[in-house]
Amino acid sequence: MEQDQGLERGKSVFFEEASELLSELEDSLLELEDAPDDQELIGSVFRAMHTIKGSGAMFGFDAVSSFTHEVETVFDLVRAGTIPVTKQLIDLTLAARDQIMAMLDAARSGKPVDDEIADGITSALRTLLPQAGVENETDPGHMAKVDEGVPESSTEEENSYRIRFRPELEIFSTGSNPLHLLNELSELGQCRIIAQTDALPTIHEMDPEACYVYWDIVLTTSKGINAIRDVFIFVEDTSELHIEVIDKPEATGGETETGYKKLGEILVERGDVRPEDLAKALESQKRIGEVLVEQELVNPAKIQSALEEQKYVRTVRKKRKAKGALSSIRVASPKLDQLVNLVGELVTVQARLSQVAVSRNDPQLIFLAEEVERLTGELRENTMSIRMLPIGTTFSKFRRLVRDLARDLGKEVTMTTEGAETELDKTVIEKLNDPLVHLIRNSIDHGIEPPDVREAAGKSREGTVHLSAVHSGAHVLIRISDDGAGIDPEVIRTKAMEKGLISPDMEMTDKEIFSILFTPGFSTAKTVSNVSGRGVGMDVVKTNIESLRGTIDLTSEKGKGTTVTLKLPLTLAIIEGLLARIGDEHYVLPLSTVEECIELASRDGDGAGRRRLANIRGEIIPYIHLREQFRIEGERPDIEQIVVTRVDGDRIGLVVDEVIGEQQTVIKTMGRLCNGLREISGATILGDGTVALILDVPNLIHGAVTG
Amino acid sequence: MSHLIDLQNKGDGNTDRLILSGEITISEARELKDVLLKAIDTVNDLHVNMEGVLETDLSLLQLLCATHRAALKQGKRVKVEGKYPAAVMRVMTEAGYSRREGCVAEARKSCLWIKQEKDKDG
Amino acid sequence: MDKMILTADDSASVRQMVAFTLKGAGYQVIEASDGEDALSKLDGSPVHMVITDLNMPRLDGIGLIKKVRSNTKYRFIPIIMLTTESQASKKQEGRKAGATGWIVKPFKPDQLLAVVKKVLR
Repeated sequence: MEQDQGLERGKSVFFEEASELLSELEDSLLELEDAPDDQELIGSVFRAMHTIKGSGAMFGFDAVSSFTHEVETVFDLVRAGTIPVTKQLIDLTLAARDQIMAMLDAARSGKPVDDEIADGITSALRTLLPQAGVENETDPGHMAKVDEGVPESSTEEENSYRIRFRPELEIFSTGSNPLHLLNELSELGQCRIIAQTDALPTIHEMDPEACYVYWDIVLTTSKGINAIRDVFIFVEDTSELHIEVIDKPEATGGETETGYKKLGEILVERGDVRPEDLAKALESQKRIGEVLVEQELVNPAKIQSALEEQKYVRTVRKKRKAKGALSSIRVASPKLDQLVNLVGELVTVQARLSQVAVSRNDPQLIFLAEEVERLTGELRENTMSIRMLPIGTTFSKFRRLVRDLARDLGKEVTMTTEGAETELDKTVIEKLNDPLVHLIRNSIDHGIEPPDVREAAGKSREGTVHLSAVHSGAHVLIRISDDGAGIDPEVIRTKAMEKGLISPDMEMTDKEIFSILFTPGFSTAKTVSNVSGRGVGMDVVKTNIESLRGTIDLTSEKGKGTTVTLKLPLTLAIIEGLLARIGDEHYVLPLSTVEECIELASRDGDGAGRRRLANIRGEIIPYIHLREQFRIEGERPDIEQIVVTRVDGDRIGLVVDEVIGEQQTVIKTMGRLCNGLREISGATILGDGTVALILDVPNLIHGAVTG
Repeated sequence: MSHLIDLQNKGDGNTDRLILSGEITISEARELKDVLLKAIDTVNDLHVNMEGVLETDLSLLQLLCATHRAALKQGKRVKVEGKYPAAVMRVMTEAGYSRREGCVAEARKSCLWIKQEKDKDG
Repeated sequence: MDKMILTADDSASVRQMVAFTLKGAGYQVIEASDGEDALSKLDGSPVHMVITDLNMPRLDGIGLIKKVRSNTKYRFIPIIMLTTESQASKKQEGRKAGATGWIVKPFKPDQLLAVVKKVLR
């Protein structure tokens, strides 16, 4: 049962690792396409395949392992310089990478996978292999092995090896000093050497010039097994030499609770104790080592040596664990979400505490409340920062998209990025994926012209899509710009008229015309291409961005290119809000949309309809009367307040009874209760325990205008 | 480099002291074996002083071990007298000879190479 | 004290290459043009290592190795043979005679030094 669980956990770690490796692999392959001679990249592709193959087999994903093996074989030859890096190879390897991903997904979900694809890739890969019989003849006795430190077999992974080295008795008379060999061995890495002297006779029977001692060595090295063999190159024919891997970085100590094999197991593996003797010894209740020595089944030095191995490997594993823990730890995201929720509740309670402290006017309590407020603030920021991820991971995913799209459309496109290190809340990053894919598709499909067209227009054949991210206060600005054909406002205008979205005599700025692009159902693509223009338009992108409490803005210059700017909040969990009251109800307006708050001095704007106009310092601003909008019963106060917001570049006022002030607001989603209520994005709990609704200002205004 | 292998009787006829110094390596193994053999066959106690050893190798460790084994069989004693010089300590480390317990059951406590640990600890 | 290496080869160019490489790495070198020459030079200043060709006039490599091993002074010093690929059986013979290791000709200076460092330490 426990073993099953261990295996399952191992599997899930493997899935995680594999998908990380595959995404790194993709990056490496794309980079390799630009730098086909880069040995480091070739090496990293090989290692990724090698690791997936190895651990795949370990967890019983034989199909994944054997398929990956095919790719690994090819890249081994690439590494050796036998096969060149070609576009065909990159294409095939990328396809193979996708196939491995699909196989892993299938393995995880238990669904079947299409073997034909794998077979197709495999046979295509095999055509790249050189014909049999032309393999390089390498002379086995050549000394190149010794002096070059065997780079070809070295891995970055540190493995631990168990080595038993038993030289011939006459080793001294060939001018070899076994201690030199042990010294050389210890230079390969960390090691523990134990002499075995049981073959040593008494002085009477001894040949003083013979070597009776032999050695058990445990060595941890990244140099690989061939480097170990090379140490013994001159004596391997005349010595007994056993080398076994006993620990790899993947191993975490599953064998026993204490972290490594049992003593008896090691002794049997070494051939020092026979399995049947061990079984017999195990029947006794005493410590296994003592029993074996008492019964003279093994001498104490062998036990000591096995114990040393046990101790050694445990230490190596402990160190490895500690090292891994230093750099980062993996935490399941639900745990993180729970932490954020708890911090949210703490923020709420803290607000109540502050309120109570002030109302009691107790200096001691006020002091404590202030301390709690400070600590809560720090805790909140720390917690939020844990959820932050660099947006670069998303950016690099798009390189593949850009490449494949460009190839499918016969265009030449490069993607450049900027600000990949910019951090954003993990949830925001996840939800940003679809909108970004859509926008990039648009850029390549509609924006970037075919190479010939570009050339004729005096541009480089190759178009550029530039992704950038930059912090701006509590927001992140993400820009997707291309140097393509740009958008002709006239075309949009004509189309909008055709669709009856605008009347022919309407005077419109370019900006206003571009905003039509975000109207539901509007699409300018002349033909529906495979890439974009599937009817899912910019309006969906806009909705997605707004659901993240972000805004979208588009500028374009005909012939020069288009830029879409997304403005997104750093986090979704807590916002800076402006608390307002209407009657007994409280509302929170996200501070990001608020420009100013002013008293609505007179009711001069009153009139019929929901949309009215106020004169603020000479500027005429339309406003929505929220008491009316939400149909709240009761008398309007004599002096109301108008909160001026900016949405899509327009200033619009929202009238409330009273503005209470700014406050940190923990967002609680409302679930199904508010489905369909577009004006409300969530709720929060106030210091006194009452609930306030959080207004979705853009939707509120949109609804009021169209409704 | 020269070497010295000097066996002296302590006067009681039952204890020999062996003084080793200089270069005691495989080249000297034959000579050293003969001396050790003579000593262990004639006295009950053999004290080995290696303080003057400047260069050595595995052959010295093997010879002393083998002498110790013979002594155990005959109910005699071999012990190291004085300090372990740097050259011997180095070879003990290189050869994986430093240990906490004797290599064979009879030599569990009296092993010549345990002393090093005791010296360090105390 | 710099270690002394004796190199025996009837080819002056190989000898020079070996001597030049070893001197560059801080070793002292004695050159001998064949086995007999090597033996007589071994009687002089103490030598820590021998590098010998196998095919030499008067006394060949195998003969030299046997003689060196029977000399009490040099019974345990490292001896490296210079072999070519076609000499597999000679290599075995040399090992039996007491050679420590071998270097396959042609070799690069780095390879030579790697082997010397390995056996001489």
